[in-house]
Amino acid sequence: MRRKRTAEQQAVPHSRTTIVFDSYGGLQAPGAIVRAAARASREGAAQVLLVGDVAALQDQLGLMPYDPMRLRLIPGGAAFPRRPGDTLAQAQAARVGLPVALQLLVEGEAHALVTASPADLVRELVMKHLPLVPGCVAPAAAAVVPTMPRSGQDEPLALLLDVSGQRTVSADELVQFAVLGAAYARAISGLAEPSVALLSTGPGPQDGPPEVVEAHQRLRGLPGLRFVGNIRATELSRGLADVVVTDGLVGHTVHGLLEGLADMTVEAARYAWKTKMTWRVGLRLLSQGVGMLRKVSEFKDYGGAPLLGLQHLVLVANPDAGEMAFENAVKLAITCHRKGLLAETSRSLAALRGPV
Amino acid sequence: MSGAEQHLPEVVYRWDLDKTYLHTDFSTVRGLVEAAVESAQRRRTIPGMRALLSALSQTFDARVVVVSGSPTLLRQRILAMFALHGIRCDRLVLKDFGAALRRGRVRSLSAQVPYKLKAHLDTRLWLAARGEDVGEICFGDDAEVDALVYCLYADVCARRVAPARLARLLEQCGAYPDEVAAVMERVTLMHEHDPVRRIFIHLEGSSPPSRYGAYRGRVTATFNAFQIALNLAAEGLADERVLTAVAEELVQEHRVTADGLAGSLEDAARRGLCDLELARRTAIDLLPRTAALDAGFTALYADRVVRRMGPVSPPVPVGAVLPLPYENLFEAERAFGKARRLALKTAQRIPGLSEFLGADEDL
Repeated sequence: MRRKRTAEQQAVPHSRTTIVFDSYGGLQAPGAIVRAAARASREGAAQVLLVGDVAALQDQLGLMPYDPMRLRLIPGGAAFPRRPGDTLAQAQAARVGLPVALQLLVEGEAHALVTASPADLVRELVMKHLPLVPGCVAPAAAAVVPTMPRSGQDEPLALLLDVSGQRTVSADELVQFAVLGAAYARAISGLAEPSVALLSTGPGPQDGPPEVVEAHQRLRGLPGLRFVGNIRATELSRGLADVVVTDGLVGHTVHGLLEGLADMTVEAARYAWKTKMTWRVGLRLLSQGVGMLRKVSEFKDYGGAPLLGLQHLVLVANPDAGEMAFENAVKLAITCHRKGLLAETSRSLAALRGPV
Repeated sequence: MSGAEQHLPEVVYRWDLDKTYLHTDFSTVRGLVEAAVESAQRRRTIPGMRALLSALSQTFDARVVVVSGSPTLLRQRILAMFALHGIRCDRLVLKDFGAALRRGRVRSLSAQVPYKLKAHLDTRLWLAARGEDVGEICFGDDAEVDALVYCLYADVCARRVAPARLARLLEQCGAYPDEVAAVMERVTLMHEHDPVRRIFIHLEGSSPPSRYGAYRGRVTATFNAFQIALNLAAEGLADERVLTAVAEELVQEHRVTADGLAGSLEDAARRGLCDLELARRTAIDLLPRTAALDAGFTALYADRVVRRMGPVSPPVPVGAVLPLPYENLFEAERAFGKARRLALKTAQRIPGLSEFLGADEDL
């Protein structure tokens, strides 16, 4: 499929993106977040607001180059846990700090939030503090998954949503997720007509649970959406669709399985490297290809899953996210802001509702 | 004799030029050529520095001395640039590359410590000859060894470094024997005095502030001209006019936003460059009355900034002079410079955020 700029993408003016980081969340917090924020400030990519324990953040910042003109520290109202790896205490601190970060979005001081706090906590607080796009039933967490290369595609990736871990109980929600996913693919991936599929037990319109069957029928008749039917889990990585829609719990499970599989592949390669000289030679010969494979399957380096359907941009990073993942989150947030993702999702959901 | 002529200066502002005042890129051939041929009008200054130096130089209570590693060929251009910027430069010392080349002194081309120390001592003798034995505030950057040179200069003036150690140190820094002798001669001509009151190091490169922890509180690391102005104001050496001039240049000529000013102000307060009261006064009473208002620094914004100001470090004490291990510091500076050059080369090969922004025309 050829890339084409949509009118909405062209309409968004270029302004510096302000990104607020929740520095309480993630296994590598706050160090990896501070390093990524400092680098973003130095390179002038974005205006960064770091919400957290100001004294602790300043102690870390003092050890690295940064630019205070592009990096501000905002008190999060809670001290960072003293014991490293105390995820419970971190979550408690995030419960205090995240609302501060969300308020910055609401008050227009920031364009995007990046957080690696527990996804359930983020969802709970987001639902409490941020407005949904009119007509949206629930936000969908979207994650990119690696696929086989497809002709006309720059990156072998598909968008999988919802991966929130929440049950998706109605066909309405699945239809909305399809529309939101297509809007994301149009705005961010630059696909004029992204293909959308439903994840189900079989390819037929009657396959799957009742809500999937109903969603299938409604999506087939939905104008402006290129619905390509159902795909099975085994076909997910074949790249049959740009956007794959599924129940939040199923999506979360599938995404987790893929992550686990990627880790297992790396472990298998490590085992092979240690076990036999001939395997080591083989791996060495394949090193470039293995590197590429590892790059696309390194989920913890992905820049975070955007929550679609909100009036503000929220990116939820992997709890394992390291410095590179947070840097990628900065890139993704800038792209989403500049390419007008929020306008595109609002427009798409308004079109789904029809003329008022 | 006019009143102005009778008036003795109260302070000397001692400046470096490249990367402290001027935006110079010595890491590329293009940058070097530009530095050599660019006209006075086109020379790019570090944001806010022109307003800062201009405001500081416009008082008769101060002398402005500039010691730079730029070649003497550029003297007229630099003087023209200062005139254009409305800056009174009382003494300008440049490096005579031609003389070094004629004598086959390759080391002298790059060695900064012997050249700058001698130049600082020369200008100090010049001030002393005029009866202007007053305190100094020094401005340098993190690209070279400015912090080390200024501290050494202060210690040499105050006789805190023994002559034998100074000679060994100069040799370690690449000085030729006659250069060592020239420095030692100037030391003997000077009377014991401790003129340096503050050393500002502008973090122009990619140094963390912690890099200057090794200087035991004698160096103040600042990220921009606004932070220098804040610190000078905290010391009573600058007033609102200086702060206003710097803030206005930043906003009007460098498109610095309200967030940029607020971030600098908060960072200065957190690192003890100014106290919370001055930070508050600057945010509430000063900035909304300047061009910063156009950048969004409204009274409401100022109120929000002040409410969010967290814990601050106590202001950094002035005048605490502790002995420095110059030999180790020089090696550390050299290692840091090498590591940074390597990092710059690596960064050119690995696409970073700026490349990402520049690569996609859609963005």
